[in-house]
Amino acid sequence: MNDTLDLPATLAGLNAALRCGDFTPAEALAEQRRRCVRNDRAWHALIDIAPPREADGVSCNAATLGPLAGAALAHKDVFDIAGRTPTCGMTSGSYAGARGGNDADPASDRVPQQDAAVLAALARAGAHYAGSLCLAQLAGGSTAENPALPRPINPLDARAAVGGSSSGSAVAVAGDLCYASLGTDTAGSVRIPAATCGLIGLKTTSGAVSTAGVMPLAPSLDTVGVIARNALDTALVFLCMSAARQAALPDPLELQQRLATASPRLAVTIDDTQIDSAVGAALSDFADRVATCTEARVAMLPHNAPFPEWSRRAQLMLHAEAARIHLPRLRMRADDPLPAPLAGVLTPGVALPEPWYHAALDERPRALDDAISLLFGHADMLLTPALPCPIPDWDIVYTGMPRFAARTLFALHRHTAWVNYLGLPAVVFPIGRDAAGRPLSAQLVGRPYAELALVALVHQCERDGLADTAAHMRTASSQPLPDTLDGSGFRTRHA
Amino acid sequence: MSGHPVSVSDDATGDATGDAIGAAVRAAFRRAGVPLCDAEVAPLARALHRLQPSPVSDARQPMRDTFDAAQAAADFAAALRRHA
Repeated sequence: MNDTLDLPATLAGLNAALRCGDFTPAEALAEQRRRCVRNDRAWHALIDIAPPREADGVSCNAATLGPLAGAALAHKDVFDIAGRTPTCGMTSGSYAGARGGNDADPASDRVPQQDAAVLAALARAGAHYAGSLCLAQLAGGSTAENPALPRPINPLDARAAVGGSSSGSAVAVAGDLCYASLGTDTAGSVRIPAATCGLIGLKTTSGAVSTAGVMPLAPSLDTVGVIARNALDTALVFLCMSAARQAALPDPLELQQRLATASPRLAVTIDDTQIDSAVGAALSDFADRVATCTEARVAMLPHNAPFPEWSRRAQLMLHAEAARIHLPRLRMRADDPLPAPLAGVLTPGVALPEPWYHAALDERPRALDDAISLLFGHADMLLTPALPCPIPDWDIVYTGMPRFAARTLFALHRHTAWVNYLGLPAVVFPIGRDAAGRPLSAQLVGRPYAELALVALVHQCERDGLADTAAHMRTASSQPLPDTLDGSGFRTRHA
Repeated sequence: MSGHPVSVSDDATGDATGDAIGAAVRAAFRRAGVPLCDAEVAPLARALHRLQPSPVSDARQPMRDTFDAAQAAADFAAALRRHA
């Protein structure tokens, strides 16, 4: 076995190389495990690395390789693994193991008997579980702040903040611990970390991907999402994790062709009063270039959608449901005080009047009707900023630090939380750089279940040089896959 | 009303709205059996006021026994499918 296997930069490339016999899945898995441990010494994303399972050593026939064969993927530590209780970022004290959710006692430390449904789906596609990744405690925060764990470092810029709560997922993908990672998104917790690390972050339609075996934060808003380096890998993981047990799995080459042929209509909204000038300028410039370079037809949307009201209702629901989920733990807080970021998420929900929460839930279907009419009457997708400002330094958004700025922290989910209230899919992706060289990202929001259409436009932007995903790519992923791969299976040469 | 004065602005001297919401906060924590220290009341009152600056009486409304959360979820799922 090679000591330093030269792995392709993307999952699709890995699949092509395996089919061509450049190396075996076992060799690829061993190399990824080495990288995961080695690279984490710099970035602090791992909570623990999974022991190899028996299947790890089995070499696969190229004709039967799944689309994620040979891929060792680490995920946010909120997913059940058979025999292992997720820490949910609570690694010490009486809150440890406070997984919430499926049990009568949400604070139960029961040991799961089976993997979370999404992990089982990824395994059917050939993926292996590499380890668990850090997060904001109980997935309740917009940054990586977690007093129980070492601070994860942004691989693009050590002084830059890492968004949360799926902070470890973004750092792991950006820091080359793994090709892609699953996170959960309740108000932006996949998209914000992806944006801070210059990656693609996909939030799925409410209910489109099973949350069985996943720690809940606010079940009405919770979704499972993907963080990856390019659009094709994002689509590949999404299709694999959402595939029904008997469904056909995606072929990477066919998927690439499918992504390349979409022709969306794009509405753009830029509310200058709500965003930083550098972000607004980057978004305007990006919209102009999209109209010129891609098949997308772009139109400006009058800014009359009630985004702040939708965001407010999302926050109401998040506080109310999170408090309800973790009420047993909250009752123990006299003996074990909550860390400040977690208290900020859970305690308002205790005091929140039920009628406010019920009103937000009652209004949701009508709000969705209104949103479809306002946002998608003449467009297939909506372009907004991912973050309202350039990525701040990490100590600006960590509570308790001398430079902490609460307004900057609270603003991080301004463009993301309303999407969860409406249950819509969204994807963030880098479109440029700020004056400090940190990524500036855009968000595309689509109709329900339009995940692939969103990712297709990102793929076309990568292809045409409009999406700045190159920072993480040793190989240009937007190039066509090697011509040695076709949809039928095994070929003998890999370029 | 018990405890220190509460303000919904950053003013530490207290105001009628802040005091009323503060009292509602204390009552809600007491009902839920969740410990609350006095220093938390003002930040919580401000957080609630930011979330819904409605009349204080709202904050004292009882739970609605007839609310059907499962039906609300089903209605929303149907709306999502309708707009796919």
